[in-house]
Amino acid sequence: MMSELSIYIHWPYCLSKCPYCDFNSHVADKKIDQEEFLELIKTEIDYHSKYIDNKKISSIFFGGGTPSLMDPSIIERILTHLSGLCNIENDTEITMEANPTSVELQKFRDYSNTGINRISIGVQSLDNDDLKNLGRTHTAELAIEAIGIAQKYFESVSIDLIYARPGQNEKAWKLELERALSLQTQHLSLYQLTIEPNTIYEKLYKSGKINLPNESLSNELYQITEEICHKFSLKKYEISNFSKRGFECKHNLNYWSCGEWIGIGPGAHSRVREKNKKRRSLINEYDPYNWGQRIRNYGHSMIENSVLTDEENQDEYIVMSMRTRAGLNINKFEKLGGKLNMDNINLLISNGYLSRSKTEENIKVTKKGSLVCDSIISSLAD
Amino acid sequence: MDSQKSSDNMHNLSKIRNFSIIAHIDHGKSTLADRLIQITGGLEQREMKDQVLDSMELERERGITIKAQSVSLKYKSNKNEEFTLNIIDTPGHVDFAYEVNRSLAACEGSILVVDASQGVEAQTLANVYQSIANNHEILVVLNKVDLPAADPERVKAQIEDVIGLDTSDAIEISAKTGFGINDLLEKVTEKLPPPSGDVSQTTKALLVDSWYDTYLGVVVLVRVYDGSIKKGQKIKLLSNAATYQIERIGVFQPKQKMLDELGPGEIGFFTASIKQVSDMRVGDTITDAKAQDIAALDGFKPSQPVVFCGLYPQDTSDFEGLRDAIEKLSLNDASFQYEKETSAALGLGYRCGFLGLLHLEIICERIDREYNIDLVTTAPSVIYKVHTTDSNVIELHNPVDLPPQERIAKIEEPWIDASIIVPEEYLGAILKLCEERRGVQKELNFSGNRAVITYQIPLNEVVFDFYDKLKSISKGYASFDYSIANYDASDLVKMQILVNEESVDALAMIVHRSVAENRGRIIIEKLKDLIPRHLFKIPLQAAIGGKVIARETISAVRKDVTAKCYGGDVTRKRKLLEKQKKGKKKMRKYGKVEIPQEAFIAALKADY
Repeated sequence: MMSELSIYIHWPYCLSKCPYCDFNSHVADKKIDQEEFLELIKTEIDYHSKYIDNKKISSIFFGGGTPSLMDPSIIERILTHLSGLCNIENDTEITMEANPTSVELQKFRDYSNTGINRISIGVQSLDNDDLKNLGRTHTAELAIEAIGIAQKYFESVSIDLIYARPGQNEKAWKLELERALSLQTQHLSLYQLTIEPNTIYEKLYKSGKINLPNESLSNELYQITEEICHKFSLKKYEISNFSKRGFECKHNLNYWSCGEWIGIGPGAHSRVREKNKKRRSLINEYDPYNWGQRIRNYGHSMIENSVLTDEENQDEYIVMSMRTRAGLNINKFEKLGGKLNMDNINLLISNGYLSRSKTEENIKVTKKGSLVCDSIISSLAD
Repeated sequence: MDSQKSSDNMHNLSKIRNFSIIAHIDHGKSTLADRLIQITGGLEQREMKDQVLDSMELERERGITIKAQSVSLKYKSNKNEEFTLNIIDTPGHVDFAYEVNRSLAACEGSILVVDASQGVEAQTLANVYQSIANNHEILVVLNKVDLPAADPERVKAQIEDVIGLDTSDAIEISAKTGFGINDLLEKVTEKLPPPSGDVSQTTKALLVDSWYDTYLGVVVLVRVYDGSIKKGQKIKLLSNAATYQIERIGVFQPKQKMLDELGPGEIGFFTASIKQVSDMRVGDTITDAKAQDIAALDGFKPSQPVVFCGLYPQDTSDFEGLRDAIEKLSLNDASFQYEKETSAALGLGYRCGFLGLLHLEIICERIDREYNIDLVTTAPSVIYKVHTTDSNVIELHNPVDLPPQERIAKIEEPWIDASIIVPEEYLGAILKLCEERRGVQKELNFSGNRAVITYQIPLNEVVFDFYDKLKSISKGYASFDYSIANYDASDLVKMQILVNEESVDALAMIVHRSVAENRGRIIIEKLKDLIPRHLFKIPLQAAIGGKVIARETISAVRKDVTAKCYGGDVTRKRKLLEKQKKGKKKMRKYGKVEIPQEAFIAALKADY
């Protein structure tokens, strides 16, 4: 079987920085030279060609930042460059993240012509006041318009929403979510607001200027999210991801099943394997400027390139797989050289946190367990 | 190292002065020793570093002396007579009271140093009384007279009042500036008596201290009374009749100076291919191997640990390292006892015996600092005498070993005589503390605005945090000293702590019934804060026998889930998991519950 590979391409720029965001995104102080960016991306792709050669590409993902700020022709030339190295096929999922601003939605058609077949729109909220608080520059109306246009051009449309926001109660979220679901996108990523280190929200939170829902409300919000999505025939297939059947994000599923992927662009991480060799972790230079300099100097931007030990692979598999509906496959874990503590697993099963599939091959979190998924992961990785 | 036939004043006893310097911490004992060494030319200026005699880093840092040290100085008096001054620097702390006593026994006089701004402290008292008991001539010295806050007249009055010493000849000095040092040296030669002894008699010497030196091996500090100790001589120890052949003899000036012999009245060291410091017991009598019917010097007693606790490595894989550390430390500390012990909660470790809490703290700190091992210490315990119904008496070092209640006729616990000196304004709070600790007041006197209090207190009430409490209540002004008094029967019970229905051996303790409930509650509340929530709820209980006296519950984790986790997060998430695993290794698994080390430590340091 030909081994499969995902490719991630990171565009590190945004027009403004949202106060909750801790991603590798920057507001550029001058116009970005997109041709130059393209050359750097191509150079970095070429450097990793030994990991890409002749592999079937299951997915490509343009993330950011705001990759929809990229000119469609740049996207097209990146994809053309990649197709010279590997097999991009009809079923290769090619996703781009986009913001629902008026400028970007005008380009949706052009993006679809480049080969992008899936779009992930950063809607975040359908409440205009909250959109402002979240630092977003679009309105709910514009977001809905963008979704409509996207549905014309892309096979799969996903939207991101942030909930458990300051002051949000069950009723408000229920209404907002139902409104979002009525838009009939194939996929939703629904994230509870998290205070991340070194963000404006962290400062506000620490100084008591914003309050988050307490534990019991946030649990409640999590549970009603799953119930409402279920009513709309969207299934939860990961802690924060819901889709219609067959529209799960292949790209992310590859991360969660500890596959192979190449990360291109500043701060991107890779997990790669040459034939008959061990799985490696590569990490690129984080800062966009230094990233460019490194590529110019060395042809790549890696600041870390290390073989993963068996234990590291096992840990990554636990961390990622336990978040998914499929859960952790015991055979696969044992092939990685791992051994599960069955006493502990049985205890977690009897406490209602875990369930074991009928075939007995997979263990996964129950509804109750998904609320304490991190604790379960830590308990399994003992 | 140069060697010469003998010391300059050989056997001229009238030109020898042996003395100790006694003082409270920070009153300037070590600085005075430094100044004496410098002024008599023992070291050149460039060789001086502060507190020459405190050779351990820990000693300098804490301002305390742990091991006795001696220095032999030459001093030419105003009358142009050359004297040999032997100073023994003694450990000042109560834990080492016996060692202090033996050091004092090796001298004929003491210099009592009192800070002219601070006045007399409890520790000064204890040491001065020991000097008096050793028939010492005492020179009263007021130090730090250069300080603006110095009030020599007030302090003199206090010394007369509290200690009962005549201060009409008190010498005012500043060890820091050197003021009054020459006067002091003259007074030493005039007022302190010379030693007596007969060189023609059979060798008789006091073993003052011993330590392990990397280059010399075991070094023995001795005071010769009669006869002499010569290179090549075969000597024996009276306590166990062990014989050794003397290899090297010398004095510290403070640099080592090798000699061929030590005569009566002299203080110096020897080496003799001795394997262990523990073979050289402080207070023992040394004589010639062939000597018959030699009476032992008075006052010898083997050192007896009074406080016990378990020492465990935080990381179980450090056990080998801990063993190595403990063995090495005990090489140089005969009073430190240990034996291997296994705890269900803490794994492999050692049950250790100490002379007191400071001794315990010092050992722990040295293990941490010099051997880089993070320690868990269990609740300090004293030695209880358990009388069983079959008329046996068990000396109990570990609460876990207490026989079942029905086999116990009575339990006796050690009491101490505590003396505390404290400014009047804190007296009320200090008396309250003593009462809470089941203390019985013996005396209460005033000297100026300071109270001098004597209490009898059970030692087990003192071993936890009494000293810390005393210091914090009095803002550091109270001073404290104690000596072991007697054993007395008390209503003592074993309190167990149960986590998730399982008894945690490391937290078991013996307490007086009247305080059990309060302590149980405090410990359990601490544990509640320190044991992380698990995926199930955890009951915590304190119990005496089968009776639960306090309980709490740690609720289960309700929400713990990361919202976003993608390709760029996996490295960070994995590293977090690795860190958690590492943290778990430092936890102790108790049944299904993981208890962090901090929980044990904090529970035992609970604020009672």
